[in-house]
Amino acid sequence: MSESYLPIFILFFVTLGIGGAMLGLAYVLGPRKPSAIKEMPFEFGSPNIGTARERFSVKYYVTAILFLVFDIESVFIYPWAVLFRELGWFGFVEMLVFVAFILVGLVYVLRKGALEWE
Amino acid sequence: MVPIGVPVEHVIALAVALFVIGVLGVLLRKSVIVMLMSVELMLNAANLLFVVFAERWGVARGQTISFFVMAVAAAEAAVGLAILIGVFRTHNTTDVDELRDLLEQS
Amino acid sequence: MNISDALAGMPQILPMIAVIVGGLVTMLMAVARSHKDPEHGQLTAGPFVAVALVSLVFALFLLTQIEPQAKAVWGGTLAIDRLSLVGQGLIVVIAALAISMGAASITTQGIVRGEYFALSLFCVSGMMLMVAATELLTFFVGLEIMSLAVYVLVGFRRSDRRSQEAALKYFLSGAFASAFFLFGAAMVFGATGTTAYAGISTSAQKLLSGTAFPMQTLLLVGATLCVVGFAFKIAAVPFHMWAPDAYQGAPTMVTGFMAVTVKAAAFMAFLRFVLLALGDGSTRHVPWIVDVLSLLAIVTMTLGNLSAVLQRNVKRMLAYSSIAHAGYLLVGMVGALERGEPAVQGLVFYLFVYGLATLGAFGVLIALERKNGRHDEMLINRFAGVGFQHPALGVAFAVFMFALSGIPPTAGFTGKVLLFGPALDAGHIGLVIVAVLNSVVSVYYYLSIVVYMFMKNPPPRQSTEPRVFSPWLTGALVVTTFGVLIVGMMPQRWIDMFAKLV
Repeated sequence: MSESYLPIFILFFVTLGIGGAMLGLAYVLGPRKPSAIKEMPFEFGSPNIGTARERFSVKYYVTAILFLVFDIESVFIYPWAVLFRELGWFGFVEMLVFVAFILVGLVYVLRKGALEWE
Repeated sequence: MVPIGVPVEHVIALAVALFVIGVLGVLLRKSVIVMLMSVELMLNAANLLFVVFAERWGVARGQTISFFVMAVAAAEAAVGLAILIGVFRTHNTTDVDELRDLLEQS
Repeated sequence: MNISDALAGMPQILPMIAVIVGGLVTMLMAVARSHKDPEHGQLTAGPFVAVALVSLVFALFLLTQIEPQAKAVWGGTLAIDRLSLVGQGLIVVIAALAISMGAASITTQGIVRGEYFALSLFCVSGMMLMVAATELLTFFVGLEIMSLAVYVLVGFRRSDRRSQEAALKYFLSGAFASAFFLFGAAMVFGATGTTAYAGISTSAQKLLSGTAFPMQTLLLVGATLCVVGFAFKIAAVPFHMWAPDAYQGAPTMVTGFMAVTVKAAAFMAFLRFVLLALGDGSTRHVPWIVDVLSLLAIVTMTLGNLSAVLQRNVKRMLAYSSIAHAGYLLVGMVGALERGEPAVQGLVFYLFVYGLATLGAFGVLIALERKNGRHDEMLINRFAGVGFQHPALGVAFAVFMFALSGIPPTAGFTGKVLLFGPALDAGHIGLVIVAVLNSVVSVYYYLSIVVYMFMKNPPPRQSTEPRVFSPWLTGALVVTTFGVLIVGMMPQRWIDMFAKLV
């Protein structure tokens, strides 16, 4: 019974080991000379403005929601692409219909102005 | 796919545990976002069950269902977040206990 | 499946396609004028209603063209038997009336968005899929298409606190219920290895006659979770908590729509699940399902009616009334499990009558709302003297209330006779007695509104804001009023329409 979990345990410990080794070795081997600038969170190289705990604009949520919806469509498109030849014309037409639906959604989103930032 | 040989009962137990955690999350937590996450957890528990039973019966049906459930979960999350934004705009809170405009008037 | 099979199966799904195309067209129409152009922002409801009605009427026409057959089509996922076709037709007709009523409100209440029509049509397509589904996944997808659209419709008044709150509460409990259903479906799939109702029925018979412990338990727990999911959607006690809030907070036009169509779709899908997956049409594999449903029916009617008596807000009162009606319909379901055909006929006929009367009642509420009256609370004293000021509306409302309480000569009486008859036939005397007593209780609160309308003086100070008016609303109200009366006085033709459903 327990040996059937062996692959999972191996995966678990290898993952844990790699992550731990990276952090641990950097901690042990790396030279450390802390300074105020180095302690600052890294944000694409430019100085920080304000804290990270302020409210974000609601526009980010709209973008995130739209991303979520369009992103999940790839769940269907990927297996379809793998089996493209076996599915034949029926699969092709079906996917065209599916993409047409997404396209209508996209037109709606564009016209609604949800993708404009200002 | 090479079967890894984990007993089916264990996976079922995991799915049930996930589902129960989700149910408790919806019933006990007050933050709408956490409740939403709990519902997603329940859907994923069902997904896990579908996949493991598909393996057991050797039919592809359960696997395809899990794709549909993922799409439904995404749509649900999108609608849920949109509704949540609407609530936050009008009520300035995401705590369900503070939403009490609709109460019994008797 | 290859392309010729798909083309051969096309006519059977054309009605749904027609509705979906209507939804897409209205969705694009809603954004046809640029959002940056405020002076063109004022949309008129006319073109939207026209497109919506054309697609619904066309769908109805297509439904009448399909030859019913017992075998499921599209790889065993969709039924085109009489229950499916008549059920879809029922939903399409009721939705057409509801959408016409909503057209009046679309230019008031601060709602000027054409998305109302698109969402309603998508919702209808989901319901049609639910009613036709003979397989768990297909049903689930239909359920979600319907539910997601309804959640958004409930929260349609973006600036209204109550509307937003209602949408959130409905969404959370609805998503919770869907997850229950899905988990149950996964268990049923695990026990039987299939998601098709026919296959589930066959394996269930085998499993439940034997003593295979783990699989039997899995199947029963799964089926129970599915039933819980259904009970949520039809708002049966104790899974009804969302209904009063959602009904009260939603814009009135949406309340009317969802009170009728969501319940009808969920009930017909529930019926198919219980009859064909947990039985094989005439026999039941799970013997205690009748007791469970009887208990649910008794609790639902009693609690629904007693709570309705206490309400001062008419929308909330009608919400509890719709819960009570879920209880009556469950009595019909018990009859359907025991007696099959005549009870199914009675159940669907009652759904039709309940639909007309409830929709009509909400139509009158829409007509009484003030233009721009965003925070209109439909309290009962708002109805004082309405019968004198607007006699036609008053009489129509009285007709709907008589129908809902089951007083002849309205269709409500005929409906209740047909609904309770089979259960009585099958020996569920106690259940039917409770149902009849409940109907008597319901007369009190239904008629109290009529009393306010015709026997109390209107309040001295009244808002001068103009009332909502639209020819679409008037038309739909005329149809529903005369529908309730004509079906009640000449029932036979209409009852025949619902014959031989299973």
